[in-house]
Amino acid sequence: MLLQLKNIFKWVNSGGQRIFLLKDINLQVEEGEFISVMGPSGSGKSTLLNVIGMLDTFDEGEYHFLDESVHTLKEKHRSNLYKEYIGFVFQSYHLLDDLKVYENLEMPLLYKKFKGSERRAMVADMLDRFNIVGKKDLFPAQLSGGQQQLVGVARALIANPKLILADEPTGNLNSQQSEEIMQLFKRLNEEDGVTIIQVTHSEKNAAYGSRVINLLDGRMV
Amino acid sequence: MLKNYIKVAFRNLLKHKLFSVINVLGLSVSMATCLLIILLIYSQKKVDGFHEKQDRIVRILSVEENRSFASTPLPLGKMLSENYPHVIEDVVQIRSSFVGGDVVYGDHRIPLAGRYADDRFFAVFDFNLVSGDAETVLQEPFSIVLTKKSAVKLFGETNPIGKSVKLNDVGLNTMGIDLIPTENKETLLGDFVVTGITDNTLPSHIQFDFLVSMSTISSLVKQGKSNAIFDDWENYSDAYLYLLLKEGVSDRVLEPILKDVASEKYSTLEAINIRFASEKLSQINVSTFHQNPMSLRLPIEIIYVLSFLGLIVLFSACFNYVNLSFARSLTRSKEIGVRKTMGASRRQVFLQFILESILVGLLSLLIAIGLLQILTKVFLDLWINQFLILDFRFDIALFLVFVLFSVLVGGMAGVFPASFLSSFSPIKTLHNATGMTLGKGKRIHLRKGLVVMQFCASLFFIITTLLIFSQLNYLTEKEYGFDQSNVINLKLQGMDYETLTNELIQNPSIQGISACSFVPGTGGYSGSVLIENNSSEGESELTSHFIAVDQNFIPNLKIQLKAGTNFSAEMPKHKEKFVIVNEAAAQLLGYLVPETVVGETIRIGEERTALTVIGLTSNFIFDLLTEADPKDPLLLRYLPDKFAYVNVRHTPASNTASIISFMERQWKSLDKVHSFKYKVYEDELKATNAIFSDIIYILGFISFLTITISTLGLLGIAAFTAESKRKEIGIRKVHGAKTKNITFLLSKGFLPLFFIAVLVTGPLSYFVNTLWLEAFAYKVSFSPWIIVLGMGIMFATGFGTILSQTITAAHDNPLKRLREE
Ligand SMILES: Nc1ncnc2c1ncn2[C@@H]1O[C@H](COP(=O)(O)OP(=O)(O)OP(=O)(O)O)[C@@H](O)[C@H]1O
Ligand SMILES: [Mg+2]
Repeated sequence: MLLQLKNIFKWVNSGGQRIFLLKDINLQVEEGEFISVMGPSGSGKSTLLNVIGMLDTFDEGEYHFLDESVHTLKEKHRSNLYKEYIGFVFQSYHLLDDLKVYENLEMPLLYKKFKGSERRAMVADMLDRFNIVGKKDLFPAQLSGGQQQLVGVARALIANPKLILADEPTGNLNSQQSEEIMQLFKRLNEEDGVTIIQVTHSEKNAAYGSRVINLLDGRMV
Repeated sequence: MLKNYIKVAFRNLLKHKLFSVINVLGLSVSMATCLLIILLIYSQKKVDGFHEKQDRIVRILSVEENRSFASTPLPLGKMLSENYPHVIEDVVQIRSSFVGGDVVYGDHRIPLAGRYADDRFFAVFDFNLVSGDAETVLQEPFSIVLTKKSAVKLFGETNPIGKSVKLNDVGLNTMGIDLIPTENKETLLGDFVVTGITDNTLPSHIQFDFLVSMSTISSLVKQGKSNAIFDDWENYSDAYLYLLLKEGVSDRVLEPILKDVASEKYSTLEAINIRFASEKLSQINVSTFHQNPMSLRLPIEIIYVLSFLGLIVLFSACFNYVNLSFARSLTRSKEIGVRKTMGASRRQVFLQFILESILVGLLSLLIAIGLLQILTKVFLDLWINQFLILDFRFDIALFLVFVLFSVLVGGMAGVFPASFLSSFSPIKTLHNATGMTLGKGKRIHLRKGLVVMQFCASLFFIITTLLIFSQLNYLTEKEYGFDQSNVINLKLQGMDYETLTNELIQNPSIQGISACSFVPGTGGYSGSVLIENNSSEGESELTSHFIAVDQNFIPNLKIQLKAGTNFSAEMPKHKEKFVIVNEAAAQLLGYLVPETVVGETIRIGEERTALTVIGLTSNFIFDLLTEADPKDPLLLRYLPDKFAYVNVRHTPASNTASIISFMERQWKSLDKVHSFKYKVYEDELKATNAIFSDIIYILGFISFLTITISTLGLLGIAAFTAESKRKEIGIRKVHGAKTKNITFLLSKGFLPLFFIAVLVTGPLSYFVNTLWLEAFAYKVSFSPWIIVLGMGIMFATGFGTILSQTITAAHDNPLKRLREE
């Protein structure tokens, strides 16, 4: 078992009223799963993903990741945990505009105490694997959306995470580009055993996954 | 990691050029100012650093209740060395007064100023003795050690060692600024043998053109040429005393010893209440001011003031950095979010931004060092620097200090922005693609506060600068009460003034010649006397300055004679009977109607000599303009013995240069030895305000920098405001907003800030500026119009800057902007 959410509640107080963003979420994810989270806009998909990614906190419930109880961990430990095991892919890629492609790939490694030679080897390996060696000295603005997202996925993968969290990774891409990304996810999942949780609005994309979770008003349905 | 940070930092600097230029420019000019001050302090610290035993050398001070003297009584040195041999290894004394005036070798007569120093001088200090034996050069009476420079002047190529020179003493002023003789006579001290040559080019507070052995004085006393008393404990302005402490002895050991000596010598003396203190050699050049100093140097107070001004400029540049960083935090928020989700800790992000600002600091240092070259040149051109001992050479330690300083400045500027930026939470920054919730609330207040402070600083400096300039203008336009135009003053240097007058008056271009003991308004003095008055108007006593003048002085300088008569040519030269007073003196003597003083008798001096007041002049300014007070009393006395200058008035039409060369020819025919010394009165008076214009330059420069830097900062903020509202501008324009509406919308936020600044700074600048203005007797009135004018200038520059940005933004094509979004 990779992670487990038990009776997770998250709310915000607004005008004296408690608005629930997540309501009683129970979810168990095994290693090697490929999960798609679906639901209408505002249903709490991104919120859930952020909670799983430990970027956001929750107000009630338990969260176990591997052997750790995330809900009892201090901020510092939590960030060490996600640093080590989780890679993020964003809808709007979020590549750093001031860094070249290979520098964007290298960036996460800088925070993980890899040596310079190791970093170079890992970056070279990724560029190779994603077939973007020729683009390594370009800046993100010089790439197409699909290519940018390719770099985004490569960046998420570079430190060998166990889990990839992707929030609408193809939201800004045309159908051919999204298909490529989905194929890539599938390959990663099947060949490398990477666990993937993606948020998507498209049934077609959801079909790549092994399991679909539907959210409505913060509740799993 | 570091490489990555630096790369990002550089790309960021290049990408946001306007902001980078504003930051680097502001920081570099303000840093250059601070570097100059560091250089100044450093160079002062370096003075006297070449003495190998400098750590063991102390100078003894005489301390009164609220002031201290660099000098000590003559017998103190001998007394200490004899009684405390376990503490003191060596003692050197240097007479405080200069000796010399003219040194003569053959037909070379060179004006030089030297000092009496005792024979241990070269054993304790490490002045480079080019020839001669350090132990003996100053042993025998009538020994003289010349500096290399003096030796070349006197002897040229000839080897001076063993040669004999004549020394004429003219009673030089203690402060050898202008080698002003205190009296108009000279004494031939005798023949001196050159025993050594020293190269004293390394900076030291001990300045001399030559040294004469202290043992000479005893011989001179016997010959009646000196009145020095070697066991006079009551005069503590006689000599400078330096002790070389034994190895391993701390200067604290001296404390009880000096206390004992003082209480032994002075406990029975009512009139004298001093104690002694010691000061390390290394402290002499950077410490508080002592009376009777050996040489002029920058008092530590000036360094404090300069440092304060430097810091103000530096802070305004740092303000810009902080301000602009906060303003631009949005543009970096995505990067911070991404880095944090990729595993960066807050500390790492903080480090990144601090490194970035340190990089800006170092970058600014590069430019600052370039600017420093210009700045030092300008600074050294200041009038005051001809009297200071400065060594502005670069060395590696200084460079390290500079680097350290710039790192500190960078860190200081970056610490607030870095801790702010690193606090961003990744989820907020990434989720809110627009990031609109960032930097609101408290941060906005902080930013507004910073803008207000910049407005305040600008306004304060604009008002201060305006006031300083109007005061300077007032002083330079101020009438002295005499007519200095077309007058050339000659120094008599012992020549009989009537002989000279008779020669010079032959020239038809010369209209009049008068004589005086000092030239009014140039900082000279003849001293002051006690006046006693027992008249029908009551009794009064006062001390008044006096000036010795001849009968031509008042008409020649066109001084207004308000009542009575001038001196007449027939008066006896040596028996003083009549006196002329100025209005202030008359009033202080009790004559409410000053004119009634004429005909009265006053008694002056210790002897209570009775003098009849024959005339009354207006209160012309006789002191330095910066120090003059219209209420200063003055006596004009007919004392031909005291005449030291003649004032030559020539026709306005005549050529000054040809008159000067005529006078020089006449002078040379009358005096074969002294060189012709003259000054054009108008120029001389202007030069006396030089120290004041130095201050104006410095303050003006600092003001200019501060105003420029805050304007730059404002430019940045305005540019950012416009930038961050691009989308809003686009939407509003699409919906029909006019350019002028948008300009107003973007600019109006600055108005309240401006008014807050006016409310704070108006009264503050009034109060602070009144403080220094009070120090001048002749001053402009601080009219509220200056504040209003300052506000006007401030408003114009400030809003000019803001509008330059907002108008461009408002003119933007809205569709283009929206399409980009
Ligand atoms: N800090 C917050 N304060 C108040 N409400 C919030 C906050 N964060 C999220 N919400 C609300 O929570 C709900 C869920 O948001 P979330 O971003 O998870 O939706 P989503 O399912 O990802 O929608 P979409 O498909 O549009 O991305 C929304 O209604 C949103 O307005
Ligand atoms: Mg979402």
